[in-house]
Amino acid sequence: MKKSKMIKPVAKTGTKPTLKPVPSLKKAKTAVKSSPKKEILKPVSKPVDPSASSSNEALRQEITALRTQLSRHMAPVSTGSMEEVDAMRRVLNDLMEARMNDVIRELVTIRNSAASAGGEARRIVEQMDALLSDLGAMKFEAERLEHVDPLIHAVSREVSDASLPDGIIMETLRPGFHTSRGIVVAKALVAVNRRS
Amino acid sequence: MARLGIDYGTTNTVVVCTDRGRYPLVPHVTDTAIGRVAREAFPSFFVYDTATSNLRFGAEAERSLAEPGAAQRYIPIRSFKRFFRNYVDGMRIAMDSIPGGLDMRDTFLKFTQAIYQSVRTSGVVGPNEPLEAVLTWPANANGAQRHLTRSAFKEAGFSVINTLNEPSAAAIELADRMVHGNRAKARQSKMTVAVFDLGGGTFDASVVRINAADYTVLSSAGIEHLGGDDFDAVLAELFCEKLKINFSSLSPFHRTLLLMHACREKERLSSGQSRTLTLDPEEIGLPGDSVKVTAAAFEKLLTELIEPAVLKLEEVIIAAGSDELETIYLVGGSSRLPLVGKLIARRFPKVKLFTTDKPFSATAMGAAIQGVETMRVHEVFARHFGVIRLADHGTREIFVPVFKAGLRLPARGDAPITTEVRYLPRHNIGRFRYLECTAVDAEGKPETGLRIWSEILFPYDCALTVNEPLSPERIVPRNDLSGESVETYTCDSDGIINVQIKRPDGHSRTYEVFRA
Repeated sequence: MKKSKMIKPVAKTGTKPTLKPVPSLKKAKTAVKSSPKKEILKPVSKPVDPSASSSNEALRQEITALRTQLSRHMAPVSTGSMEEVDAMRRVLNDLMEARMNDVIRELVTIRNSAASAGGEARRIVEQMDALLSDLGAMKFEAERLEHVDPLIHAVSREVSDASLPDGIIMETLRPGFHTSRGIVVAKALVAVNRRS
Repeated sequence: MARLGIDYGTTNTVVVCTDRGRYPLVPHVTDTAIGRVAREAFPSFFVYDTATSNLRFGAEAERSLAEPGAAQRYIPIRSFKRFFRNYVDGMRIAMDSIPGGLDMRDTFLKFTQAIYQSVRTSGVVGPNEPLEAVLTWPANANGAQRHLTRSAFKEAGFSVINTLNEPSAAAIELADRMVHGNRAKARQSKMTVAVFDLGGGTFDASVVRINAADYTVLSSAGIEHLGGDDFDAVLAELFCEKLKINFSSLSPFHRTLLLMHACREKERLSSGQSRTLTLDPEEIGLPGDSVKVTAAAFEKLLTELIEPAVLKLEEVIIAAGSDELETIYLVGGSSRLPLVGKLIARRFPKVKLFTTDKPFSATAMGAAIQGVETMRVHEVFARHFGVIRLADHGTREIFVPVFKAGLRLPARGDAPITTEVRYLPRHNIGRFRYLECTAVDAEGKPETGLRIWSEILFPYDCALTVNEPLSPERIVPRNDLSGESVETYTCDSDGIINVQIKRPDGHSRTYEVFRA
């Protein structure tokens, strides 16, 4: 039986798995590189009419020239087969969504750390909430006296009130966040009632 | 019509659909107080409700565990798929707290129906759109497991258009990933890849040669009982040591909660969020203060479990005999543990390791791609299949292989593999005891992974009709029977075996071996 070369055990340790570059970026770079003109986009001075009376007019002309230049650079992408364009869109969408959820998770962690600090950090919390909202993350809190739902709530404290049913939510300790597609990126932390 | 790839896993079931060149995950959607929430996988665990004798699946099962009095009312059942390896028709899973146990087929059918409902309510498919599915199963799954999986998904409402071994599906996904989702380029791919698939319950390794639209499995093997569940159990035991309690003395309910917590902590380690694993026992209804386990202590114990898988991968690579191996592809949720990549890289320093940010969905995505493209996948039979016969005038029993491990299975649509066995009967009734095993010893005796299937009784005596009900008590020696009987075995692209037994008078009967 033939033995493959690469299966010899070697004492070398700690080699990490090879991580590939983000496919969409690599693809995009390849597409731009294969363009007939390889220079990067830069401010255009030549096409601007020197007799333009106002700076606004000069700016408009510059934008038009830049648009033309951009179309030329993008031509190889747009003339690719529909399948290639679809594939690129698909990879970009999937990556964007996955990365966005990761980003939102990180931001929620930072937001919660700021919230724990209190005081001046409250302004940071407000800014983070606004940023999260801009990114499509929706904040939610648990309703007092509703039952705990493990899909959206995480119990972090228990309180005891014999007059109320067991297992109901007494207080939201920290809000949760979900994306517009319903993915819960952070569950709401709640205090629940335990009668015993 | 919706085309789906379905990966029924030990921990989670992942469904991917095809959508004009995209392969999005079908979310498991549940109504909550904040609206509909979606998850990327359907949990494969369920609970038995002792109050109603009903089963609850998916998110509903998870909710049940949070109800007041859940410990007294519900019996959680994790890793149901692990029971599959011993499945025979009519098998029941014995549980102390469930009178009579659970009928395995019936339970699995209910689970597949829950998945069907989840797909229907996901918003991804139309209300009356037929659901066509490509199913995946472990490469070393035995015939009965394949039969049960395929028939249950069919009965649930899916139209099963194809099946794939999990590593083969992952190889299809890798070819797609390597060219950034450009299917035109993926159809031109040429490479040889070793797939290391470490899931929740089983480990599979396959070497696959990809040549354009042809996927040829060069070799394949696995470990039936190795996966994330075992890692969770190790961590749960470590937590128990710290808490000075005995894991086996916990109630089934608390054991399950502890294992689920261990699973979450392990995933935090996998995602690099933490190097310390923590348990607050009050979270799972146990007394005591919070305890911590270091990643180093956990990984030290895991090394012993993972190393056999790395050795198995090496065996598979040697058996493939390919000098062209370029890549080892790590898939399955448990392959995300940093230790797994470290041990493989140490063993194979010259081969590129390829990981994915979604190891749990790679298999389902490969299946979905296979569902819409014309490609030929040539699998291999991962187990030895044969029959126990009497030898030396009935004085001893021997194992006679019918299909040996490594046999190349036909591609879908091709004619099944056929083999014929001629036999001179010495009894009025033939008693066929079929057996599968993962390895045989030097003398050809079954050695490991033995499964003995239900018996088939066939009347050799022409005075009996072929459909007559028979029992072993009616078997008597007969030396006056003339002519040979012919057994014709066929093995299809799914590795499912049928046998037609024909006696000299021309009468015959066909059996699906694992349904006998």
